[in-house]
Formats: sequence, C-alpha cells, structure tokens
Amino acid sequence: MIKHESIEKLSFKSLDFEFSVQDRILLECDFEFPMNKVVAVQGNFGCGKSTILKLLATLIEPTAGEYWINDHLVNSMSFEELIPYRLKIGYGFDYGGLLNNKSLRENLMLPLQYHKLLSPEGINERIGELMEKFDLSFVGSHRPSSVSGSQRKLTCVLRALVMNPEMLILDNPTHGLNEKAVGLLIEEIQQRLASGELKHVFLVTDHKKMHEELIEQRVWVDGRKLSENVEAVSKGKSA
Amino acid sequence: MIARLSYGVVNKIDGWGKSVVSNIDYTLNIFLMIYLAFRATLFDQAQGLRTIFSVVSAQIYFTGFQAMPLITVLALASGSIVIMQSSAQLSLLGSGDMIGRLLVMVIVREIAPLLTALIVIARSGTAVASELGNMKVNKEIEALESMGINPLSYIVFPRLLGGVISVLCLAFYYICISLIGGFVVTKIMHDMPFAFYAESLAKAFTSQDVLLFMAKNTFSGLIIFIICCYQGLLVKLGPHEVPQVTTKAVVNSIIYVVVFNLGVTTWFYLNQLMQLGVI
Repeated sequence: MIKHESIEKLSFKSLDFEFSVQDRILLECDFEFPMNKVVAVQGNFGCGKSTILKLLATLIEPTAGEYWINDHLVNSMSFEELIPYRLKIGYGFDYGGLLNNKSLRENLMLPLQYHKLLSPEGINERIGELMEKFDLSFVGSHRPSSVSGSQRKLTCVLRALVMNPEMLILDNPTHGLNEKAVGLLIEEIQQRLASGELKHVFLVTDHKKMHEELIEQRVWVDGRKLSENVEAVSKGKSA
Repeated sequence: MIARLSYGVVNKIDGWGKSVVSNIDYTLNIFLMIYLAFRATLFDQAQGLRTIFSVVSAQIYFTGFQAMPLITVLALASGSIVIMQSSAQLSLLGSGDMIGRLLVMVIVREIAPLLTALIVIARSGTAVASELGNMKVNKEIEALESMGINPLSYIVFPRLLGGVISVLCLAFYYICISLIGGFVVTKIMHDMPFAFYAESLAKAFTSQDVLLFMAKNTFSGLIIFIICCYQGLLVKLGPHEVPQVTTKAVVNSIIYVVVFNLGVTTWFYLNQLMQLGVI
C-alpha cells in the first residue's frame, strides 16, 4: 500500500532536534513544508540547515516530537517501512557519501542494482547517459580517492538523481563545481521538474545562479524554528 | 572522619555498580546487533545472495586466506613445542602413548581456538573496526541508508558470516599444521614412529572434541566481528575517533573471547567430571 504512495505532505509537529543540550537546532517546531516547489532552506552559519535536510530525508531521527510524511509518522517506522519513501527521495551530501571501495560508475549503479529497478542494460544506459552529460565518463572506473573533489561532488549529486526520485534533497550541491557543471545541473533539475517525474526539491545553497534560475520559495531557519517566506520567488515553474 | 570514609566506600561501590551496569548494557547491545543483523538480512528482499556472497568471499580472502602464513608459523611453533616437551616428559613417566590425548587437550581444545581468535582480532578485527569507523566518518553508512540499503544486512552480516567461516577454517588449518607439522619438526630431534603418533591421536579424538571445536570457533568468530562492527559504527564526531574505537574493539574482543573460551572449557570439564561421577 505504502509502496505506490507519492509524497504529498511533509510536516513537523512539536519537533525538537539537538546534538547536545548546548547544541539545540530545533525546539517545539511546527511546520508544514511547501510542496511541488523548489525550496531553499536558508539561515545563518551553523543554524542547522543540513540537519533539517537530513531530517527530511529520514537519515536522522528527531530528539522529540513528530515528523510526518503524508499520514505516516516517520518516528515509528522501521527501516523496511521507510524503504519505499527512501526510494522516492534522492539525497546529495554536503561532503563525503561516496563508497570508497567502489568506482564512480559503481557508486552510481549501486541503488539501481541493489533494488533491481532496471535490467543491467537499462542501468548501463541510464548511468552512461548521465555520466556522458556531466563529462564524467572518462573517470567512471576510478575510485573516489583518485578523482578531483568536484568530480566526487558531482557523482554524489548525480547518485541522488539516478533513481528518478520524486523528491530531491541536495545539501550544498554546487560546492566545488565549475559554472558549466552548475548550469548542467540546473538544466537537469528543470527538465525533470517539467516532465513531472521530479516534484519536490529542497536545497541548501549559496550559489547565485541556483537562486536566480531555480529556487521558487525559501524556508528560513531562525531561533530554532522554521518559517516560510510567503513571497514566492519569481522564476522557475511559476515564471 | 567516619562520614568521609563511608562516603568514599559508597562512591567506590557506586563506581563498581556503574561499571557492571555499563558492561551488561554493552553485552546486551552486542546481542541486539547480532539479532538485528540477522533480522535485516532475512527481511531484506532486495539484497540478493550474490551481493552477500561477494562481500563474504572478500572477507574470507582477507581474514582467512591472507592469515595463513602467520597461522602456519604459530601452529608449527606451538605444535613442535608441545610435542617436544610432552613426549620427553611422558616418556620419563612411562606414558608415551598419552601423547595423543595430551595434544588433543592442549592444542585442539585450547590453543588452536584461542590463538586463532587472537590472530584474527589482531589482523581482521582492527581492519573491520577502522574500515567501518572511516565509512561512518565519510558518511558512507548514511549514504547507504539514503539509498534504502540497510547497513546491517549490507555491511555487518556478510562480515559476520565471512568472519565465522574464516575463523572455523583457520582453526582447522591451525590444528592440522600443528599436529602434522609439529610432528615433522619433532621427528628431527626425537625418534617417534609416525604410526604410533597417529594411532595415539586417533584414539584420543572424540565427538565431543568436534562439538567443542565448532562451538568455540563459531562463537569466537561471531564475538570478534560483531564487537568490531559495533565499535566501528559507534564513531560519531570525526576521524580522531577511529583509532579510539579500533583499540576498544581489540581490547573488548580479547576480553570477550578469552572469557567465552574459559567459560566453555570450565563447563566442558565440569560436565566430564559429572559424567565420571566425581562431582
């Protein structure tokens, strides 16, 4: 039943998150995230933007309170129950996140192979196209430790896209990327949004071009609470 | 004065109590992780046998195959020492035919499982703990979770299975090299007919030895790899924690393996004494 359910609603109810008592990120936070939009999570340094993305991706559990996806309470779900949602969520890490004992190509293939979402030929075709587009084919057989930081970053971002997720969460996706790669990434996200396969995007980024060309709405992290900027930013789909 | 003394005593008892509780808690967490790793593997519909076996075979190669030279040296040395020392002493006592029994008791039941476990801890336990610790630092564990891959079935279970198989094979190899190689080395110094030696050994082996061998080595392997995986996954803050958890993994594995071996040996001999009607 859950397997075919789309992600329509994400909400925090009285949610607390803290790394320690001195390091509280969210306190008694009630918030319903804007959906079907490209949303930027913004705030000061260290206010917990990445943590909020991780909470959304179900990678960390709140210290207290509730996180709901549609009508399902995430806190009470087992790993197996979360899998259908995780397959619909693509997550790109701020740093790290690539398996060091696999090549870049194997890293991209892993989720598709593991969940047997495509035939081996289909996987090769999809990965090949993406790597070709982003100019990563020539380093496909290299391991993460033997390529440049920008190639690692790009692979990590692309891995979030390989499963054709309906929700994309990217933590600082442009860090270390050149303008050409940033342009290609924006184009790829816009294409997927236009085709309707990608519905919700949550980003933490300071990149001007991303803000100008992609972001439709902003969510602010301030004083351990989340607040929505009701003024939808121009551009993107609404433009 | 008395109040201060009693306060000190209470503090000490309090400290012991905390230490006991934390050790029980740690042991329960280890058991819980074994259960969760097996459960995750059973319930993981996506993970095929091919994925598990590729990691298991790699683990057997690194833990089992690559440890063989070291095991050979140790087995030869310990086998020769025990055979040389015991044959000389037993001949003096006029019980030369007891050599087989003594070797089974010392090498098969005690030295082989313990030394094999210690070598595996030193070589592979450290590797597993630091590998998982580094994976945690590099967010590889989180990445697996984000892709809907359970680290317990993808990372922990194959290492457990590969580790247990490796320890069993290495212990068997240890016994073979120790008994055969030890005899060959001893033969250079002592004149002992092989037929006499082999007959003495064959007479000494019982089905209980097989049971003891399986129990000790299977559980030692399980203890080593679950503790090392557990410690590796405890890394939270950064790379500076990796050597700390690796050291703790080694120390805890040694303690648990030694205590387990001692417990099994004690139970085994008490059982034998009960069968003989001594107690």
